[in-house]
Amino acid sequence: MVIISNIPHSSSIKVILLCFIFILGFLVPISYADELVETHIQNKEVEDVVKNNDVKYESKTSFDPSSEIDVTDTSILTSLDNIESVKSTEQVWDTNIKTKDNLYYEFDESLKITPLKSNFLLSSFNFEINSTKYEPGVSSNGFDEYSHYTVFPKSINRIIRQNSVRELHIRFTRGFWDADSWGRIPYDGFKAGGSGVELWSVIEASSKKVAYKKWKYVANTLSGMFCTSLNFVDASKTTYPYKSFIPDYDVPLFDGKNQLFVMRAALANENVCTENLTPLLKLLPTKSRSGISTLLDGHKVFDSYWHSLSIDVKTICEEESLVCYDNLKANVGVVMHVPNTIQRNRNPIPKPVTGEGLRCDTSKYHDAYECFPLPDNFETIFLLSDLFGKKLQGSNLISNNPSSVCVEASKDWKILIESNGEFFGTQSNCFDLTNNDKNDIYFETKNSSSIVRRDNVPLFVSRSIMSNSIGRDGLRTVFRNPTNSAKSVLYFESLPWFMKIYLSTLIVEQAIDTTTGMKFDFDIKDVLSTLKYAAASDRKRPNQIEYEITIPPHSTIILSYQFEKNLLKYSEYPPDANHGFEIESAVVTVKGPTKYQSRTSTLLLVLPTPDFSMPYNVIILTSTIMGLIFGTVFNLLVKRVLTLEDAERIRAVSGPKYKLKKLKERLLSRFGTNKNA
Amino acid sequence: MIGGTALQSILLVSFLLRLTLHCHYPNLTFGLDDLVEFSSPMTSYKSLLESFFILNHTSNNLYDGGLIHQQPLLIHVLSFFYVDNNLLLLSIIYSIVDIIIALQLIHINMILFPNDTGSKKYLPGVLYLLNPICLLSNVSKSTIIFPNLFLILSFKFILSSLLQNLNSSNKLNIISAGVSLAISSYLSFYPIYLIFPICSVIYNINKQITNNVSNTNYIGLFIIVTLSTIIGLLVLSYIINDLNWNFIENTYLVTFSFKKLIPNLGLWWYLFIEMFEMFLPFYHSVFNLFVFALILPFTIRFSSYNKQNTGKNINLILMSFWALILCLGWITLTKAYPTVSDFGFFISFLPFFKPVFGYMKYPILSVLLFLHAIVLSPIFYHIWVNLGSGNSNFFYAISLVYALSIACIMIDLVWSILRFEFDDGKPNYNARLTQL
Repeated sequence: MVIISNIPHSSSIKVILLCFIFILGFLVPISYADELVETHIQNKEVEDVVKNNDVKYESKTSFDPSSEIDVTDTSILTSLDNIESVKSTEQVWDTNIKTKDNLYYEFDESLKITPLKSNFLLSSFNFEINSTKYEPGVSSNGFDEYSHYTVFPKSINRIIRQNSVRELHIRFTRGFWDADSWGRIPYDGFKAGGSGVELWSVIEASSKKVAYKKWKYVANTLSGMFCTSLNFVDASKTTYPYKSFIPDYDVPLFDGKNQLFVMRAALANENVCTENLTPLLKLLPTKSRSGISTLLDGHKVFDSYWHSLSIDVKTICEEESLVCYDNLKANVGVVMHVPNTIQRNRNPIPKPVTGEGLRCDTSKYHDAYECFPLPDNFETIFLLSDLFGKKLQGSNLISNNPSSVCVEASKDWKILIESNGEFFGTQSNCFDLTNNDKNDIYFETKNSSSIVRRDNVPLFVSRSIMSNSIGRDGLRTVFRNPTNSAKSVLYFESLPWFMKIYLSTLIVEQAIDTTTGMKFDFDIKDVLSTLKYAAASDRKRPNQIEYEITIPPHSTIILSYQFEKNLLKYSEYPPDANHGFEIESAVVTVKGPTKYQSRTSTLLLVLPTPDFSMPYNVIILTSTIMGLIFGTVFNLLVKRVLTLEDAERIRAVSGPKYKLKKLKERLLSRFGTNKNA
Repeated sequence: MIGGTALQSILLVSFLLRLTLHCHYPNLTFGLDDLVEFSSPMTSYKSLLESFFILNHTSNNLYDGGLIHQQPLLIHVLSFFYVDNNLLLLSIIYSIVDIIIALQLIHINMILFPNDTGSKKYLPGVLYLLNPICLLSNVSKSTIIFPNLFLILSFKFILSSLLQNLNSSNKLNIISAGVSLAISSYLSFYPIYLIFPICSVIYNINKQITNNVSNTNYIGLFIIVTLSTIIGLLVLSYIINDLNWNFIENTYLVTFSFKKLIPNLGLWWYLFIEMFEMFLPFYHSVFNLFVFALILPFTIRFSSYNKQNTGKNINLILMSFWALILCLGWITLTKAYPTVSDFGFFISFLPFFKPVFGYMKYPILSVLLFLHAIVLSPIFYHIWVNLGSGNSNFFYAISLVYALSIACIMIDLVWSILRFEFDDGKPNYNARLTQL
């Protein structure tokens, strides 16, 4: 009976569930559409347009408000009254749709292109989004409260609100920035990380423990969102910087009882790939369908010499009105080698250049077999679409400000924008994209080495592992100041716990004046007086070193200290144990006059490994030795010492042989008696 | 008390030799300190210097990180002598400590073998000073020398009570011995196990001096003094360490749980690197019990007569002292972070076994095993860790050979003592004996 009665019961649940899903299926598009009421159009008018202009019809089953509505000034006016259209599940792709005039969202985007030395080209994509304003401290759980997201990504908003994150910074950087010839890192290094993935954030919490819990949650969520290994961020990788990474403005504190905690972690040499770029593009309202983000294609972005993706989220509060909003800045920087990229477009499979194609020094003897090559050709003509494989798809259509493309090039360059086969140029080499056509940028120069002078790099820093033949390891940091003024520098370094650092061995190896080549005295005490050091705790905390150092003009200072390598447990080694362990880069911040941040390259630390096939053998061998020693000694101690003759006598009356003999006799006698009987 | 110009000159020369090596070859110190044979995380000179650095240049607690494993009192006392990065005072201290240890050895020899004359009297001390292992371990500035110093002081005080017939002076000696043993145990923990064999030495001494007088109160006094001094030292450390008990974890618990996976000559390291996670608690308890396993058997076996012998000619005090040295050897063999310095200290006591030397069956084998281990271990470590051309099993094999060499010496000694006991002090090398 029970079983039978169960059946209708469960099926009724199914029915209810189905109904629920059905209703939900209707409701979801409606609730989404509410936000964009203004942009929607009347069915009939759409049909008219279709009839008149013969535009293609595309059918969509769901709405995605921020990405798939194209808004431009055209002939058809939409009125707010036509709300029925909301229920329509059909979306029209049309270039002739008009919205309310003053509609815009807090979104800005721009692309800045800078030719660099030796035919390199830096493209820097900037996106900025502001959230709607909200009052801090008002519970979002209040029943009359509703969450309203316009263009600000909901996923990021949730992370920030749930964990009271006041600042969040993510960096994905790979490649080599040639500071010697390219100059400063874009945005003075504040939008690039060390090789790999870097994450730091300012979290408001009542205690360090709570802050760490929130931090862990943030890292895990971001790990899923950006398909990175940020879930490996744990206590053994997290540092709490004292001076570096501390915001230089008053970070708003929503609850006066709480404190702010700055936490940072980096995954050295983590691969950066398409799966990190795609989630970043998904955060943008244009979703790489229009505007400059249309150029961002994983194949091209990651086929470059240097690339860096960054996301910075900040909470900004207006002092007078006590209203806050979140500000998200995303940046994608790419450095490409123009001739190589074009060459690859032309010849996807690399082939040797034919004899005629060689560029030889004609002043010397040359033929198809002998050739003194000329340096790179400085005369170039190329289009932006040659580099990115795509054309710019118009403006972003969402922001009040049009998407802009700026080329920072010298007068030797001729920069034009191509739109519908026509070319235009401007004085400033800046172009605002207002149409919704495919655009392209045309570059032409007779001398590509003529570039806009960039500010000199204030400081070069490099770091390396030293190791001598008797196995003493050290870490050496070289600071080089090429400028005319002394530079005050903040140095930050986080090293894994299995490096046992001896800061007592911290010395100035050399201090050299680079103009004269003379050595001079540099007092380590200045460094030590500002030193902040948290020694590693096994499996719990990394080493964290921070100090300030002032590098005199035109000089090189070399600091070094020693460390020891710890062995790990058999199971703690990664599968490719002999590859070594990646050590994250050190962060150097020049304090003035213009702030500048740069990072050293990552290091590879090779740890000695045990033999991974040995566990059973070790247990067996060690236990055998222990048993052998203990057994022998214990035997000696407990047994009686006596002469051989005595022993034989005793054995003759009580030994096992004697007992066996006795047993045999007894058995035999018994057997014998039985037989006799 | 100890005279002889020859001895004085030897002491002076070895003191100057040590001081010269310390002051003029600081790289030798650091080079030796890098060798796993001479330095363990618990005794490393580098971590001592690092602790001075943390005290002087940071506001961190000493045991906040996982690098310092020396005891807070040792660090604070030694930091007095480390002024302005000057190593001279520290070097003098290390050199003097070695000389004191040698003098104690001579003292003990004079107490145990009062019949020795001439240069024989000074032999153990001179051997200690000339022993290259002891010399190098001193130059490596390993802090193991301090627990060793207090341990040998404790031995000396105990045996000195043999010379005193007055009870009050006896008491003073026993109290000093207790305090020394407590300091030694505080500095390296394992000497606390020696409280059992030392009690047996006290028992036998009192039995010999004051016949038929109950001497349990002396043993009681010794145990109470030792334990209360240890507690006092721990409390003092707690106070000096900013009212924080975290030094316990970083000094003693690290040893018990072998948290620092650093290769050494002992039996522990490779097993705990290769061990599966879930078996760790079991093997931790097994290895810690193993260190204690033979302490009581040695003590009990050699503290009284074998009933079948008359034993009138056997010096029981000597027997129980031998048990004490065997226990020391057993700790050297089985401790978590052993170094060659421990072995050097142990073999400095071997001259006291001279009555049984004749019974030893395979001293050459033991010596060869030890030479084999001590020559090959730095080479195998180097080709594993620095060159990468060998693997860890080479060094592991050598650490097993090293363990076997100590075991060989100990087994040989145990059998010799048993023979000595059987022969009742009158050697009969031709007897064919067995055990049952």
